Amino acid sequence: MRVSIQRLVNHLGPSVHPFETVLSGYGNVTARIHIACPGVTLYKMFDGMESDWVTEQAAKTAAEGELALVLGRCAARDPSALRSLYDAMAPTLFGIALRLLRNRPHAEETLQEAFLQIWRNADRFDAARGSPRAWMIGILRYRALDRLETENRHTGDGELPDIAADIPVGIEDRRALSDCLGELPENWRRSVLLSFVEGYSHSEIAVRTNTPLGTVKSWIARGLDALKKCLER
Amino acid sequence: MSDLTPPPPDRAGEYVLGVLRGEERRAFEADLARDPVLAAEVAAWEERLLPLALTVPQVEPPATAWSEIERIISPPEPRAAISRQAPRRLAPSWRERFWDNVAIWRGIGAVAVAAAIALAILRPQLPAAPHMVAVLASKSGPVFTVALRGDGAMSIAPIGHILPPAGKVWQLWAVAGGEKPVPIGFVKPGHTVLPANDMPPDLRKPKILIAVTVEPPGGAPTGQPDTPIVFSGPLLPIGSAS
Repeated sequence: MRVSIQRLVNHLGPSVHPFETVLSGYGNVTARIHIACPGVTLYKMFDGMESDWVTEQAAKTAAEGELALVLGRCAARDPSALRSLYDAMAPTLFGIALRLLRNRPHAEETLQEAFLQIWRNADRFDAARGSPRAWMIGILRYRALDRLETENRHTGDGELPDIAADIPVGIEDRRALSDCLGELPENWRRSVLLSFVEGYSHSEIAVRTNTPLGTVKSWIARGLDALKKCLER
Repeated sequence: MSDLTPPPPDRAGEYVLGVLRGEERRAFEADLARDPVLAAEVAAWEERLLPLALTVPQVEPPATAWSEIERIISPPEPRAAISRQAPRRLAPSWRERFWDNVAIWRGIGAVAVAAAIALAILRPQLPAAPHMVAVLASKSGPVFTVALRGDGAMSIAPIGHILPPAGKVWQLWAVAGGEKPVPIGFVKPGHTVLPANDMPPDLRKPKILIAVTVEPPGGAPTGQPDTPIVFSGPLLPIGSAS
Protein backbone atom coordinates (compact mmCIF):
# COMPACT_ATOMS: atom_id res chain seq x y z
CA MET A 1 0.00 0.00 0.00
CA ARG A 2 1.24 3.42 -0.78
CA VAL A 3 0.92 5.78 2.09
CA SER A 4 -0.30 9.22 1.36
CA ILE A 5 2.73 11.35 1.89
CA GLN A 6 0.73 14.54 2.12
CA ARG A 7 -1.12 13.01 4.97
CA LEU A 8 2.10 12.22 6.71
CA VAL A 9 3.36 15.71 6.26
CA ASN A 10 0.14 17.14 7.61
CA HIS A 11 0.27 14.83 10.52
CA LEU A 12 3.88 15.29 11.37
CA GLY A 13 4.45 18.89 10.54
CA PRO A 14 6.86 20.50 8.16
CA SER A 15 9.98 19.48 10.05
CA VAL A 16 9.64 15.90 8.89
CA HIS A 17 10.89 14.85 5.50
CA PRO A 18 9.16 11.68 4.45
CA PHE A 19 10.56 10.38 1.24
CA GLU A 20 8.45 10.61 -1.82
CA THR A 21 7.75 6.91 -2.01
CA VAL A 22 7.60 3.93 0.20
CA LEU A 23 10.07 1.15 -0.45
CA SER A 24 9.39 0.93 -4.11
CA GLY A 25 7.55 -2.04 -5.51
CA TYR A 26 6.68 -3.72 -2.26
CA GLY A 27 3.02 -2.92 -2.61
CA ASN A 28 1.27 -2.99 0.68
CA VAL A 29 4.24 -3.41 2.84
CA THR A 30 5.95 -0.38 4.15
CA ALA A 31 5.68 3.21 5.01
CA ARG A 32 8.94 5.01 5.01
CA ILE A 33 9.69 8.00 7.08
CA HIS A 34 12.93 9.79 6.97
CA ILE A 35 14.38 11.11 10.15
CA ALA A 36 16.64 14.04 9.53
CA CYS A 37 19.49 12.42 11.31
CA PRO A 38 22.41 10.99 9.38
CA GLY A 39 21.59 7.62 7.96
CA VAL A 40 18.50 6.94 10.00
CA THR A 41 15.29 5.81 8.42
CA LEU A 42 12.65 3.84 10.20
CA TYR A 43 9.73 2.03 8.70
CA LYS A 44 6.39 0.77 9.77
CA MET A 45 4.82 -2.06 7.90
CA PHE A 46 1.14 -2.21 7.15
CA ASP A 47 -0.62 -5.31 6.16
CA GLY A 48 -3.94 -4.90 7.88
CA MET A 49 -1.99 -4.45 11.08
CA GLU A 50 0.85 -2.14 11.79
CA SER A 51 4.22 -3.41 12.81
CA ASP A 52 6.69 -2.00 15.27
CA TRP A 53 9.19 0.44 13.97
CA VAL A 54 11.86 -1.38 12.11
CA THR A 55 15.02 -0.45 10.32
CA GLU A 56 15.25 -0.33 6.57
CA GLN A 57 17.06 -3.63 6.30
CA ALA A 58 14.48 -5.39 8.44
CA ALA A 59 11.64 -3.84 6.43
CA LYS A 60 13.17 -4.94 3.15
CA THR A 61 13.84 -8.43 4.36
CA ALA A 62 10.29 -8.79 5.60
CA ALA A 63 8.85 -7.28 2.43
CA GLU A 64 10.87 -9.54 0.16
CA GLY A 65 9.83 -12.48 2.28
CA GLU A 66 6.22 -11.44 1.86
CA LEU A 67 6.52 -11.25 -1.92
CA ALA A 68 8.25 -14.63 -1.99
CA LEU A 69 5.32 -16.13 -0.07
CA VAL A 70 2.88 -14.62 -2.53
CA LEU A 71 4.89 -16.11 -5.38
CA GLY A 72 4.57 -19.45 -3.62
CA ARG A 73 0.80 -19.02 -3.63
CA CYS A 74 0.94 -18.28 -7.35
CA ALA A 75 2.84 -21.51 -7.83
CA ALA A 76 -0.07 -23.19 -6.01
CA ARG A 77 -2.42 -21.63 -8.57
CA ASP A 78 -4.14 -19.10 -6.36
CA PRO A 79 -5.37 -16.33 -8.68
CA SER A 80 -5.75 -13.88 -5.80
CA ALA A 81 -2.00 -14.21 -5.22
CA LEU A 82 -1.30 -13.02 -8.74
CA ARG A 83 -3.61 -10.10 -8.11
CA SER A 84 -1.58 -9.24 -4.99
CA LEU A 85 1.61 -9.31 -7.02
CA TYR A 86 -0.09 -7.20 -9.64
CA ASP A 87 -1.14 -4.63 -7.06
CA ALA A 88 2.38 -4.53 -5.71
CA MET A 89 4.37 -4.58 -8.91
CA ALA A 90 2.27 -3.55 -11.90
CA PRO A 91 3.02 0.20 -11.71
CA THR A 92 6.75 -0.54 -11.44
CA LEU A 93 6.66 -3.01 -14.32
CA PHE A 94 4.43 -0.88 -16.50
CA GLY A 95 6.68 2.13 -15.93
CA ILE A 96 9.71 0.11 -17.02
CA ALA A 97 7.90 -1.31 -20.05
CA LEU A 98 6.77 2.15 -21.14
CA ARG A 99 10.26 3.51 -20.75
CA LEU A 100 11.76 0.72 -22.82
CA LEU A 101 9.07 0.59 -25.50
CA ARG A 102 7.68 4.13 -25.58
CA ASN A 103 4.41 2.77 -26.79
CA ARG A 104 1.43 2.29 -24.49
CA PRO A 105 -0.35 -0.55 -26.30
CA HIS A 106 2.91 -2.46 -26.60
CA ALA A 107 3.79 -1.78 -22.98
CA GLU A 108 0.37 -2.99 -21.88
CA GLU A 109 0.68 -6.22 -23.84
CA THR A 110 4.18 -6.74 -22.50
CA LEU A 111 2.91 -6.22 -18.97
CA GLN A 112 0.28 -8.89 -19.53
CA GLU A 113 2.81 -11.30 -21.01
CA ALA A 114 5.08 -10.73 -18.04
CA PHE A 115 2.36 -11.43 -15.48
CA LEU A 116 1.26 -14.53 -17.33
CA GLN A 117 4.85 -15.74 -17.32
CA ILE A 118 5.16 -14.93 -13.62
CA TRP A 119 2.00 -16.96 -13.09
CA ARG A 120 3.24 -19.92 -15.10
CA ASN A 121 6.80 -19.88 -13.79
CA ALA A 122 6.21 -18.90 -10.17
CA ASP A 123 7.46 -22.31 -9.06
CA ARG A 124 10.80 -21.57 -10.69
CA PHE A 125 11.47 -18.55 -8.53
CA ASP A 126 14.42 -19.34 -6.31
CA ALA A 127 14.73 -17.09 -3.29
CA ALA A 128 18.28 -18.29 -2.75
CA ARG A 129 19.29 -16.69 -6.03
CA GLY A 130 17.70 -13.31 -5.85
CA SER A 131 14.81 -11.18 -4.71
CA PRO A 132 11.25 -11.51 -5.98
CA ARG A 133 11.30 -7.97 -7.32
CA ALA A 134 14.47 -8.48 -9.33
CA TRP A 135 13.06 -11.74 -10.71
CA MET A 136 9.78 -10.17 -11.79
CA ILE A 137 11.45 -7.11 -13.27
CA GLY A 138 13.76 -9.44 -15.21
CA ILE A 139 10.81 -11.27 -16.71
CA LEU A 140 9.20 -8.00 -17.76
CA ARG A 141 12.44 -6.72 -19.25
CA TYR A 142 13.10 -9.83 -21.35
CA ARG A 143 9.58 -9.73 -22.73
CA ALA A 144 10.02 -6.06 -23.52
CA LEU A 145 13.31 -6.83 -25.27
CA ASP A 146 11.52 -9.47 -27.35
CA ARG A 147 9.17 -6.80 -28.49
CA LEU A 148 11.93 -4.27 -29.10
CA GLU A 149 13.57 -6.79 -31.39
CA THR A 150 10.42 -7.51 -33.36
CA GLU A 151 9.52 -3.87 -33.62
CA ASN A 152 13.10 -2.88 -34.35
CA ARG A 153 12.16 0.33 -32.70
CA HIS A 154 15.13 2.56 -32.10
CA THR A 155 16.98 2.24 -35.35
CA GLY A 156 17.70 5.62 -36.78
CA ASP A 157 15.02 7.18 -34.64
CA GLY A 158 16.06 10.75 -34.07
CA GLU A 159 13.12 11.88 -31.99
CA LEU A 160 13.86 9.90 -28.86
CA PRO A 161 14.63 12.17 -25.99
CA ASP A 162 18.07 11.70 -24.55
CA ILE A 163 16.98 11.21 -21.01
CA ALA A 164 19.47 8.77 -19.62
CA ALA A 165 21.18 11.62 -17.86
CA ASP A 166 18.02 12.32 -15.89
CA ILE A 167 17.98 9.08 -13.95
CA PRO A 168 17.50 10.15 -10.39
CA VAL A 169 20.15 8.83 -8.09
CA GLY A 170 20.86 9.09 -4.43
CA ILE A 171 17.70 7.47 -3.24
CA GLU A 172 18.61 5.75 -0.08
CA ASP A 173 18.57 2.09 -0.94
CA ARG A 174 20.17 2.87 -4.27
CA ARG A 175 23.11 4.76 -2.99
CA ALA A 176 25.69 2.08 -3.53
CA LEU A 177 24.76 1.58 -7.17
CA SER A 178 24.32 5.26 -7.89
CA ASP A 179 27.68 5.98 -6.27
CA CYS A 180 29.30 3.34 -8.43
CA LEU A 181 27.57 4.64 -11.54
CA GLY A 182 28.79 8.09 -10.62
CA GLU A 183 32.36 6.84 -10.56
CA LEU A 184 32.22 5.61 -14.15
CA PRO A 185 33.60 7.75 -16.96
CA GLU A 186 30.76 9.59 -18.64
CA ASN A 187 30.72 7.51 -21.83
CA TRP A 188 30.60 4.22 -19.95
CA ARG A 189 27.91 5.41 -17.60
CA ARG A 190 25.80 6.85 -20.36
CA SER A 191 26.03 3.65 -22.40
CA VAL A 192 25.03 1.54 -19.42
CA LEU A 193 22.03 3.78 -18.72
CA LEU A 194 20.97 3.99 -22.36
CA SER A 195 20.96 0.23 -22.67
CA PHE A 196 19.42 -0.73 -19.35
CA VAL A 197 16.94 2.09 -18.86
CA GLU A 198 16.11 3.10 -22.42
CA GLY A 199 16.51 -0.27 -24.09
CA TYR A 200 19.15 0.76 -26.62
CA SER A 201 21.23 -1.87 -28.36
CA HIS A 202 24.96 -1.55 -28.96
CA SER A 203 24.38 -0.34 -32.49
CA GLU A 204 21.67 2.09 -31.47
CA ILE A 205 24.02 3.66 -28.96
CA ALA A 206 26.71 3.78 -31.62
CA VAL A 207 24.40 5.65 -33.99
CA ARG A 208 23.08 7.86 -31.26
CA THR A 209 26.49 8.88 -29.99
CA ASN A 210 28.13 8.84 -33.40
CA THR A 211 30.73 6.38 -32.15
CA PRO A 212 32.19 3.23 -33.74
CA LEU A 213 30.35 0.10 -32.67
CA GLY A 214 33.49 -1.50 -31.25
CA THR A 215 34.05 1.47 -29.00
CA VAL A 216 30.50 1.29 -27.66
CA LYS A 217 30.89 -2.42 -26.95
CA SER A 218 34.07 -1.67 -25.09
CA TRP A 219 32.44 1.14 -23.06
CA ILE A 220 29.71 -1.22 -21.95
CA ALA A 221 32.04 -4.09 -21.17
CA ARG A 222 34.23 -1.77 -19.12
CA GLY A 223 31.25 -0.18 -17.48
CA LEU A 224 29.89 -3.55 -16.38
CA ASP A 225 33.28 -4.67 -15.15
CA ALA A 226 33.84 -1.48 -13.20
CA LEU A 227 30.34 -1.55 -11.71
CA LYS A 228 30.74 -5.10 -10.54
CA LYS A 229 34.06 -4.36 -8.92
CA CYS A 230 32.79 -1.19 -7.34
CA LEU A 231 29.73 -2.91 -5.86
CA GLU A 232 31.86 -5.68 -4.47
CA ARG A 233 34.20 -3.26 -2.81
CA MET B 1 43.84 -2.37 -15.92
CA SER B 2 45.15 -0.56 -18.92
CA ASP B 3 42.65 1.32 -21.03
CA LEU B 4 43.71 -0.74 -23.99
CA THR B 5 42.83 -4.15 -22.58
CA PRO B 6 39.10 -4.55 -22.37
CA PRO B 7 37.80 -6.86 -19.64
CA PRO B 8 36.65 -10.32 -20.72
CA PRO B 9 33.05 -10.16 -21.92
CA ASP B 10 30.49 -10.62 -19.16
CA ARG B 11 27.67 -12.20 -21.08
CA ALA B 12 25.40 -12.44 -18.05
CA GLY B 13 25.87 -8.73 -17.42
CA GLU B 14 25.25 -7.88 -21.06
CA TYR B 15 22.16 -10.06 -21.11
CA VAL B 16 20.67 -8.36 -18.06
CA LEU B 17 21.65 -4.95 -19.37
CA GLY B 18 19.75 -5.79 -22.54
CA VAL B 19 22.51 -5.47 -25.12
CA LEU B 20 22.58 -9.12 -26.14
CA ARG B 21 20.23 -9.20 -29.09
CA GLY B 22 18.92 -11.54 -31.69
CA GLU B 23 20.83 -14.79 -32.15
CA GLU B 24 23.30 -13.91 -29.41
CA ARG B 25 20.50 -13.54 -26.94
CA ARG B 26 18.75 -16.73 -27.94
CA ALA B 27 22.00 -18.67 -27.74
CA PHE B 28 22.63 -17.24 -24.31
CA GLU B 29 19.13 -18.13 -23.13
CA ALA B 30 19.65 -21.69 -24.31
CA ASP B 31 22.84 -21.87 -22.22
CA LEU B 32 21.05 -20.22 -19.33
CA ALA B 33 18.38 -22.88 -19.23
CA ARG B 34 20.92 -25.64 -18.53
CA ASP B 35 23.69 -23.85 -16.67
CA PRO B 36 22.89 -23.04 -13.05
CA VAL B 37 26.13 -21.07 -12.67
CA LEU B 38 25.10 -18.81 -15.51
CA ALA B 39 21.61 -18.51 -14.02
CA ALA B 40 23.15 -17.44 -10.72
CA GLU B 41 25.27 -14.84 -12.51
CA VAL B 42 22.19 -13.47 -14.25
CA ALA B 43 20.31 -13.31 -10.96
CA ALA B 44 23.25 -11.50 -9.38
CA TRP B 45 23.24 -8.90 -12.15
CA GLU B 46 19.48 -8.49 -11.89
CA GLU B 47 19.97 -7.83 -8.21
CA ARG B 48 22.83 -5.38 -8.78
CA LEU B 49 20.85 -3.38 -11.31
CA LEU B 50 17.55 -3.58 -9.44
CA PRO B 51 17.99 -0.15 -7.84
CA LEU B 52 18.44 1.36 -11.27
CA ALA B 53 15.31 -0.37 -12.57
CA LEU B 54 13.43 1.05 -9.62
CA THR B 55 14.42 4.61 -10.47
CA VAL B 56 12.22 4.45 -13.55
CA PRO B 57 9.01 6.28 -12.63
CA GLN B 58 6.07 4.02 -11.91
CA VAL B 59 3.03 4.30 -14.15
CA GLU B 60 -0.39 3.00 -13.25
CA PRO B 61 -1.43 0.58 -15.97
CA PRO B 62 -4.93 0.80 -17.47
CA ALA B 63 -7.55 -1.35 -15.76
CA THR B 64 -7.97 -3.37 -18.95
CA ALA B 65 -4.49 -4.82 -18.47
CA TRP B 66 -5.56 -6.81 -15.44
CA SER B 67 -8.90 -7.97 -16.82
CA GLU B 68 -7.15 -9.66 -19.72
CA ILE B 69 -4.70 -11.40 -17.39
CA GLU B 70 -7.52 -12.46 -15.16
CA ARG B 71 -9.51 -13.81 -18.06
CA ILE B 72 -6.59 -16.00 -19.07
CA ILE B 73 -5.70 -17.35 -15.64
CA SER B 74 -9.25 -17.92 -14.45
CA PRO B 75 -10.25 -21.56 -14.38
CA PRO B 76 -12.52 -22.42 -17.32
CA GLU B 77 -16.23 -22.58 -16.72
CA PRO B 78 -17.43 -26.12 -16.06
CA ARG B 79 -20.18 -25.88 -18.65
CA ALA B 80 -19.14 -27.49 -21.89
CA ALA B 81 -20.40 -25.08 -24.48
CA ILE B 82 -19.18 -21.63 -23.65
CA SER B 83 -19.28 -18.93 -26.19
CA ARG B 84 -16.10 -16.97 -26.57
CA GLN B 85 -17.77 -14.05 -24.88
CA ALA B 86 -18.89 -15.92 -21.81
CA PRO B 87 -15.74 -15.68 -19.71
CA ARG B 88 -15.54 -11.98 -20.35
CA ARG B 89 -19.06 -11.54 -19.12
CA LEU B 90 -18.56 -13.73 -16.07
CA ALA B 91 -15.24 -12.36 -15.07
CA PRO B 92 -16.42 -9.12 -13.44
CA SER B 93 -18.26 -10.81 -10.62
CA TRP B 94 -15.11 -12.56 -9.53
CA ARG B 95 -13.18 -9.40 -9.95
CA GLU B 96 -15.70 -7.35 -8.06
CA ARG B 97 -15.57 -9.71 -5.16
CA PHE B 98 -11.84 -9.50 -5.24
CA TRP B 99 -11.85 -5.77 -5.38
CA ASP B 100 -14.21 -5.70 -2.44
CA ASN B 101 -11.63 -7.55 -0.47
CA VAL B 102 -8.90 -5.24 -1.55
CA ALA B 103 -11.02 -2.25 -0.66
CA ILE B 104 -11.72 -3.59 2.79
CA TRP B 105 -8.13 -4.38 3.29
CA ARG B 106 -7.06 -0.96 2.07
CA GLY B 107 -9.51 0.64 4.46
CA ILE B 108 -7.93 -1.17 7.35
CA GLY B 109 -4.53 -0.05 6.22
CA ALA B 110 -5.60 3.54 5.88
CA VAL B 111 -6.96 3.60 9.39
CA ALA B 112 -3.76 2.16 10.68
CA VAL B 113 -1.80 4.80 8.86
CA ALA B 114 -3.99 7.66 9.92
CA ALA B 115 -4.09 6.52 13.50
CA ALA B 116 -0.58 5.53 14.04
CA ILE B 117 2.07 6.93 11.80
CA ALA B 118 3.97 9.63 13.43
CA LEU B 119 7.61 10.22 13.83
CA ALA B 120 9.44 13.37 14.56
CA ILE B 121 12.81 14.22 13.28
CA LEU B 122 15.79 13.87 15.46
CA ARG B 123 17.24 17.25 14.95
CA PRO B 124 20.82 16.75 13.95
CA GLN B 125 22.39 18.12 17.07
CA LEU B 126 24.45 15.09 17.83
CA PRO B 127 27.75 15.56 16.06
CA ALA B 128 28.05 11.89 15.18
CA ALA B 129 25.46 9.66 13.62
CA PRO B 130 23.54 7.63 16.16
CA HIS B 131 24.14 3.93 16.54
CA MET B 132 20.66 3.16 17.73
CA VAL B 133 17.30 4.79 17.73
CA ALA B 134 14.02 4.29 19.53
CA VAL B 135 10.54 5.61 19.11
CA LEU B 136 8.87 6.12 22.47
CA ALA B 137 5.17 5.65 22.10
CA SER B 138 2.15 5.91 24.32
CA LYS B 139 -1.02 3.98 23.70
CA SER B 140 -2.15 6.70 21.34
CA GLY B 141 1.00 6.95 19.27
CA PRO B 142 4.64 7.99 19.13
CA VAL B 143 5.68 10.75 21.51
CA PHE B 144 9.47 10.97 21.45
CA THR B 145 12.26 9.83 19.22
CA VAL B 146 15.55 8.85 20.76
CA ALA B 147 18.91 8.67 19.06
CA LEU B 148 21.71 6.97 20.96
CA ARG B 149 25.30 7.60 20.01
CA GLY B 150 27.99 4.98 20.45
CA ASP B 151 29.45 6.79 23.45
CA GLY B 152 26.11 6.82 25.23
CA ALA B 153 25.11 10.39 24.45
CA MET B 154 21.45 10.58 23.72
CA SER B 155 19.22 12.96 21.82
CA ILE B 156 15.53 12.93 22.68
CA ALA B 157 13.15 14.91 20.52
CA PRO B 158 9.43 15.31 21.08
CA ILE B 159 6.92 14.65 18.35
CA GLY B 160 4.57 17.57 18.47
CA HIS B 161 4.03 19.59 21.59
CA ILE B 162 3.66 17.80 24.89
CA LEU B 163 4.22 18.69 28.55
CA PRO B 164 4.49 16.56 31.68
CA PRO B 165 1.66 16.91 34.22
CA ALA B 166 1.91 20.05 36.37
CA GLY B 167 4.51 19.73 39.09
CA LYS B 168 5.94 16.52 37.68
CA VAL B 169 8.90 15.57 35.54
CA TRP B 170 9.56 12.89 33.00
CA GLN B 171 12.19 10.43 34.09
CA LEU B 172 13.96 8.24 31.57
CA TRP B 173 14.80 4.61 32.22
CA ALA B 174 16.56 1.83 30.41
CA VAL B 175 15.17 -1.63 31.02
CA ALA B 176 16.90 -4.85 30.11
CA GLY B 177 14.55 -7.81 29.97
CA GLY B 178 13.79 -9.01 33.50
CA GLU B 179 16.13 -6.48 35.11
CA LYS B 180 15.38 -3.51 37.28
CA PRO B 181 14.97 -0.27 35.36
CA VAL B 182 18.11 1.87 35.37
CA PRO B 183 17.53 5.63 35.67
CA ILE B 184 19.17 7.46 32.78
CA GLY B 185 18.12 11.05 33.28
CA PHE B 186 15.28 13.44 32.74
CA VAL B 187 13.44 14.38 29.60
CA LYS B 188 12.65 18.04 29.10
CA PRO B 189 9.51 19.11 27.27
CA GLY B 190 11.61 20.34 24.36
CA HIS B 191 14.64 18.73 22.82
CA THR B 192 16.88 16.97 25.33
CA VAL B 193 20.51 16.01 24.86
CA LEU B 194 21.97 13.75 27.53
CA PRO B 195 25.78 13.69 27.74
CA ALA B 196 27.99 10.74 26.90
CA ASN B 197 27.99 7.91 29.38
CA ASP B 198 24.67 8.77 30.99
CA MET B 199 23.55 5.58 29.28
CA PRO B 200 25.67 2.74 30.74
CA PRO B 201 27.64 0.83 28.11
CA ASP B 202 26.00 -2.50 28.87
CA LEU B 203 22.61 -1.01 28.06
CA ARG B 204 23.59 0.38 24.68
CA LYS B 205 22.28 -2.54 22.75
CA PRO B 206 19.26 -3.48 20.67
CA LYS B 207 15.98 -4.39 22.33
CA ILE B 208 16.79 -2.55 25.55
CA LEU B 209 13.56 -0.80 26.40
CA ILE B 210 13.73 2.96 26.79
CA ALA B 211 10.88 4.10 29.00
CA VAL B 212 9.52 7.29 30.53
CA THR B 213 7.61 7.61 33.79
CA VAL B 214 6.05 10.66 35.45
CA GLU B 215 7.83 11.36 38.71
CA PRO B 216 8.14 14.16 41.26
CA PRO B 217 10.90 16.72 40.60
CA GLY B 218 14.26 15.14 41.35
CA GLY B 219 13.08 11.77 40.21
CA ALA B 220 11.59 8.69 41.78
CA PRO B 221 12.60 8.82 45.47
CA THR B 222 13.18 5.09 45.70
CA GLY B 223 15.44 4.97 42.66
CA GLN B 224 12.88 2.81 40.97
CA PRO B 225 9.90 4.02 38.97
CA ASP B 226 6.90 4.59 41.23
CA THR B 227 4.43 5.01 38.44
CA PRO B 228 3.50 3.16 35.30
CA ILE B 229 5.47 3.71 32.14
CA VAL B 230 3.81 6.38 30.01
CA PHE B 231 5.96 6.11 26.91
CA SER B 232 8.37 3.43 25.83
CA GLY B 233 10.05 1.80 22.87
CA PRO B 234 12.92 -0.60 22.21
CA LEU B 235 16.31 0.45 20.92
CA LEU B 236 16.73 -0.44 17.27
CA PRO B 237 20.13 -0.91 15.68
CA ILE B 238 20.88 1.19 12.68
CA GLY B 239 22.26 -1.33 10.27
CA SER B 240 25.43 -0.76 8.39
CA ALA B 241 23.23 -1.26 5.34
CA SER B 242 21.90 2.27 5.52
